[in-house]
Amino acid sequence: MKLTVNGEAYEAKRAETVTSLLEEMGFGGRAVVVVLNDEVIPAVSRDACGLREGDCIDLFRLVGGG
Amino acid sequence: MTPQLPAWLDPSPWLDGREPTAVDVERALGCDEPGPRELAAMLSPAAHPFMEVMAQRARALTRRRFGRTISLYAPLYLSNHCTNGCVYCGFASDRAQPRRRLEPSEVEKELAMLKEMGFEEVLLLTGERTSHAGFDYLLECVSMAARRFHGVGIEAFPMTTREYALLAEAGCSGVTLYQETYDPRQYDRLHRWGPKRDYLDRLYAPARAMEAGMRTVGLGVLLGLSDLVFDAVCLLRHAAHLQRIHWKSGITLSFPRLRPQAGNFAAPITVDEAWLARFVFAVRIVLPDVPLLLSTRERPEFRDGMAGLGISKMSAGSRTTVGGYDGAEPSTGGQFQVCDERGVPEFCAMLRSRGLQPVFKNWDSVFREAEAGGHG
Amino acid sequence: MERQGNGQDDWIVGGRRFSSRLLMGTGKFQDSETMVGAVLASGAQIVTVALRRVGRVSREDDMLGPLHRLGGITLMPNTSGARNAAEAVRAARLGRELGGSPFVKVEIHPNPHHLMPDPIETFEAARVLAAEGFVVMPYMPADPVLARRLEDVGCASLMPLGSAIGSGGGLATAEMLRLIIRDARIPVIVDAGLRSPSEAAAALEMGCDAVLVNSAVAASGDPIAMAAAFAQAVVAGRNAHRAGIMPRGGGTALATSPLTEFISGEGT
Repeated sequence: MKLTVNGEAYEAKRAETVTSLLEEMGFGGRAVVVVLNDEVIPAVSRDACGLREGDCIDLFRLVGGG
Repeated sequence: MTPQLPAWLDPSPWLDGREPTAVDVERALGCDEPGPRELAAMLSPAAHPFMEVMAQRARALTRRRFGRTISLYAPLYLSNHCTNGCVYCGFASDRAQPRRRLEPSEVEKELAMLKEMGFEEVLLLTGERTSHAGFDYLLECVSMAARRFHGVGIEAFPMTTREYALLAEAGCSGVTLYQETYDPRQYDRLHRWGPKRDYLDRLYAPARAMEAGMRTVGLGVLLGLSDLVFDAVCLLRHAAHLQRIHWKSGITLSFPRLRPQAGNFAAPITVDEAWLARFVFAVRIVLPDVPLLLSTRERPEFRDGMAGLGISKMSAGSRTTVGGYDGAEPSTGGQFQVCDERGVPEFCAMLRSRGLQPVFKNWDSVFREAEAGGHG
Repeated sequence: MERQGNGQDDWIVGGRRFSSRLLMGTGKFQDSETMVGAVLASGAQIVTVALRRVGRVSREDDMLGPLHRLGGITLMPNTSGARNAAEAVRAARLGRELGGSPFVKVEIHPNPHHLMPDPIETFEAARVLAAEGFVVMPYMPADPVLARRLEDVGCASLMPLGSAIGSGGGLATAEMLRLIIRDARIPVIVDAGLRSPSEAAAALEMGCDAVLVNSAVAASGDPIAMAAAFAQAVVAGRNAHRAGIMPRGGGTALATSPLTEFISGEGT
């Protein structure tokens, strides 16, 4: 499935939900926030949130800042 | 029932019963941001030896903020009909006094006379809201005045926010409303009958005027009615409270002093000139950027000396009778006795001789939106 | 460092009670260990963090992981990187998902050189976010009128700059800060420009409710020791403010009365 992740093309191998995508990309255990097609997906909804061809996903995390 | 002072007004945290000493006064004078406590110290007997220091400070602050200028305005009494029983007032409803109001044609004539005298700012006064001189009458007078004057203030009865908004729309730029005294018990004794007995309605009226968009609100206490330091600290708290919330409006403060000869009422507390002067100095030190007003209740020599010494705005050539600027013999008595009877040219000459510029107009309403028949 | 005060001089923002008046930023530290050490030494209970897209390939250090484990700390995401109100609003919504608190430091500085906050975009973002229930703490120019406008749209605190961000210029805006403090009904926190603990103390002496520092700690010789020094300075400044600072001299009576001799009466 062809996706756009953080602005770059990404070919998902098996992932069909947000949760499985995060695992596939190695972000499984990390605190990230997922934005799917400009909509924030709360952590509790990730399992149920399916992906479709052409979806845009942005992943954010907290870093040090003033 | 005597109303409770709201927390934002209550002066008691600063009036702890301990009589301030010279050390407290020195502290107050050295304070970067003086407040209620410093005001109380500067009003205590211990501050009397600091008169000259306070006068110099007051003059420096006044000059810094207002320059070498004195703004001038004139009062115009529209009506002396009244239903209130204020024991200290010459227009109280039980005073034997011819009652009348100026009819619109007379108002026009009086306003024309004031304009002729050079005034650009007029303060319209009435008594309590009556069928003779109620809101609609006042609104009509404000509209007439706004066609000629750049500044139109009213000193009348407390109104609703809606009414204040209508006045502002008609060109009213200022509302003056003295609480007279902030001491609720003394207020209750002095205001024997009439709508003015409602202490809280009066207390909250300035905030309503500001909410309605009034440019300036004038506050004051009638000096001599009640404990001076209590009233002074409340006055400061009231002003600070309004400035904080209604930050787009301005405050002015006046210093009306109850004179022993006013009406037949003996003032409970004697306020002499020295005390009045020190009050003005102290308020100037605590509120460096607020216009402070002095009326013609005071004698010429005192007014001359106080001009620029804290005071930044004065009335001149005033009549406190209903009408009286058109030269005809006044048909009523005055609300209070005018002590400074000099005309405007003489008063302006005095100011100039003391290095002060008389200013009749220091802002203009040309930017007012959709001005229907505004002055031009 | 003691985190729980005796509660007598706590301050409240966004419905939460804090005893520490020092807020810490977490940027610009050499490593996570130093940053966490500095946060602990500062006693800060509100700590700012930023929000970034996750690098898909690179695996940066997880700077903040240890902070999450500390407990007792409110994480306040900032909106740095946003160039306008719409971007800041978006950043705040994401930050809330990650930070676990409704606190947000709105900062919008479109100019990459001086980093001065944009008052108009900041106002607009604050208005929208406050209406959405965020605890909005705007980083702002030290402008008393803007302060009123931000307060009126529901900000939880004001964070005026002491001087240009990263300049170490101290309290160059002192005169404006005094006006802001005088009229504010919400906490005033000086943010940006502080270089040394004495400047933090001066801000508290002046009546600021708290200060936020980051560079001054992270870029100091020993960040952990400097964080502790700031903590002490903030306590000293606050205590001095509460104690009442000695007035300046010069209040003596004069023998002559050139200005007041026209006045009659005894004045008693």
